[in-house]
Amino acid sequence: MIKQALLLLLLSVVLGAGLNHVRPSEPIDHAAKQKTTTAPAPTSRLTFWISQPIIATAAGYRQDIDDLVSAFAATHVHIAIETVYIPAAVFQERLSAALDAGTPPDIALDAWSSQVDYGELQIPLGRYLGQSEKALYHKNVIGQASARGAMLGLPVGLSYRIFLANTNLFRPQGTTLDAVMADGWTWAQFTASVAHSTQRNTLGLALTDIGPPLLQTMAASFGAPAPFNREGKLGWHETTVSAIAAVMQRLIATPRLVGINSVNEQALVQFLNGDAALIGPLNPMLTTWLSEQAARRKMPLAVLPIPTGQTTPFADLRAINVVAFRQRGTVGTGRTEAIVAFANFAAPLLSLIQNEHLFLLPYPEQTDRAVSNPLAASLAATRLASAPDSPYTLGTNKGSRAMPWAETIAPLWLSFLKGELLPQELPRAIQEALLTLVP
Amino acid sequence: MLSRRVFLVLTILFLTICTTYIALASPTRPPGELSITVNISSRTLVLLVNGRVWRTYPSAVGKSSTPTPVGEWAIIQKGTDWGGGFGTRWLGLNVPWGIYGIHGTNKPGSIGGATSAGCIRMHNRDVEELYRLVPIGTRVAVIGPFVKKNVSSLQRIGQSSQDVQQVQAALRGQGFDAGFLDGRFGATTAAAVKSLQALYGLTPTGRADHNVLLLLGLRR
Repeated sequence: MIKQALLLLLLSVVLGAGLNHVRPSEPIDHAAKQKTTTAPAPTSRLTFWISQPIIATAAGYRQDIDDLVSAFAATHVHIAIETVYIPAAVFQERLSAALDAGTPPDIALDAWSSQVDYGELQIPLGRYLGQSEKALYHKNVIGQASARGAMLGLPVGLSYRIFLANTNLFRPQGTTLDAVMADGWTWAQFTASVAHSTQRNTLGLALTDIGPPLLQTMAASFGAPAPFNREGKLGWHETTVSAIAAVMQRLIATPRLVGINSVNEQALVQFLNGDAALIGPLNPMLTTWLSEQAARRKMPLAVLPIPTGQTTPFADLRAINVVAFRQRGTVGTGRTEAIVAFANFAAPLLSLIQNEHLFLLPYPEQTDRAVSNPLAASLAATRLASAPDSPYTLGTNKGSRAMPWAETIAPLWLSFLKGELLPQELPRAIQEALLTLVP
Repeated sequence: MLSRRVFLVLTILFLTICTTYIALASPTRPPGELSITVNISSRTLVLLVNGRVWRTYPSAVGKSSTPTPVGEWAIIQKGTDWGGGFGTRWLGLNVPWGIYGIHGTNKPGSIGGATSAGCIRMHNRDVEELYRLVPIGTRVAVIGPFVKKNVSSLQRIGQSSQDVQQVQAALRGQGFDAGFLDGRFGATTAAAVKSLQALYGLTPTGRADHNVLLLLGLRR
């Protein structure tokens, strides 16, 4: 009996061991132990925030910036750079929060706007440029990077707005194609040309945008790209808005022109199918894309600037800047020196990286560099002197970076385009709406 | 007498050990986030915990004429009484354009082949185990060849279709976060469309209109 019992016990142990063997084991965390290495401790640790655009080329963009930082680290062992990539959609919000907390990044690169004047924490980088370095920048671009008399950013690229013309269909009025390309044109010439290019089977213009960006582009052509000036006062005067309203009224009066008072959901199709003579306004991304598509279709193109609103030609050329900050409570100059060293090192290289991945025109010395879009490059290089000399996105407060004005005036602008608000009512309505944003 | 008592104790001990081991061998729901990946080419269903492989089951997938829908789905239904060719358990997926699920079979020999009408077929013992482990809401990624097709009509929030899934895949291909590839045009997909429109300087409506379809390479 005991023998049987022992046999039973043995069997149970063997069986148990076997079952235990087939039991699926839970995943084990094989986190590798961090290997520590000894290196000279850097005396300055800087953070570098980069607005990460969500595009297919973004991976290469990031890699190139990482390489840039590595190259800096190789020659500046006493300065450590921590790169932080932040999605473009939330970049401004995060930066605002960091500034309010007094803990901004040391350096920031926002790919899609010419943000300057983030408040008293911003370091005036222009102070650290020599005369020969400053000479590389056009005075209007320096103007865009400046506020309160100080150059607060290092421009690393230019973002442009243009129109593309299908030269088979475009019929300029009061000017010639060559003259437009060489010397620009007025809004009166533009609207007349649109009307004249509108034929039985051809639209004179396919508008890509009807919202606040279009309004801002038109305002830039009058030399006032931002609704508020450097002093936080209204930059868009009633005369400017009246002139813009008059241009839009002439466009609305053009027969068969779709997409003036509603979104044209077929603008790209119309242009590429040869049904529209002009398309715009186009940013670098869309210019590049359309140029490639048109080339495949063997469509002859001409790049035309945004018409000017005054006797002084203003082209919509927006400087993209590297900006630098000091932390609240920082004492001494060591950290600032490190920041300036990195900003000066990075600016020309970021210029090339932005051109390659985001199709922005590299700046300064853009004419010496290979650019992704020769059509746009030829235009912008010759129009540099006509860039507005004002920052694009100054707010009503020091450090006001966001564009609340766009949300505030968008309903008014769209009401006007739909005919619900009269042209003579628009300027006052916009003024009053913007004034509500002034504290 | 003593021997009998010893025998009784040992028998109880034996039964206790066996019960314990059997209980241990039968998997309970593991801690962590569960997800499922179905690989069409290898005809396997993999259960993952926190993204790491926990169990791999052989399965059958759809025939070439009735393919298993590639995409990122969720389990929205659990059932035990479907019977017949569906075997002993049913886990329904949220595919918008048909009734697809993970289920058992009365043809165990078909497992490992491309033999179903689009569902993922498993051995009954396997699907019973899976059924116990995964809750409703578990994500199911079906991996396989995703065929790009032209989309001719405007897509907007609230729509559900294979065309929407094409838009989601194309958005993802261009680096935008369009959410799950589930053919449902929700807020995340609309936000991705807006991001694309803003990037190209188009009015950001959130609708996948003709401009957007053209930029995504989904129409000519």
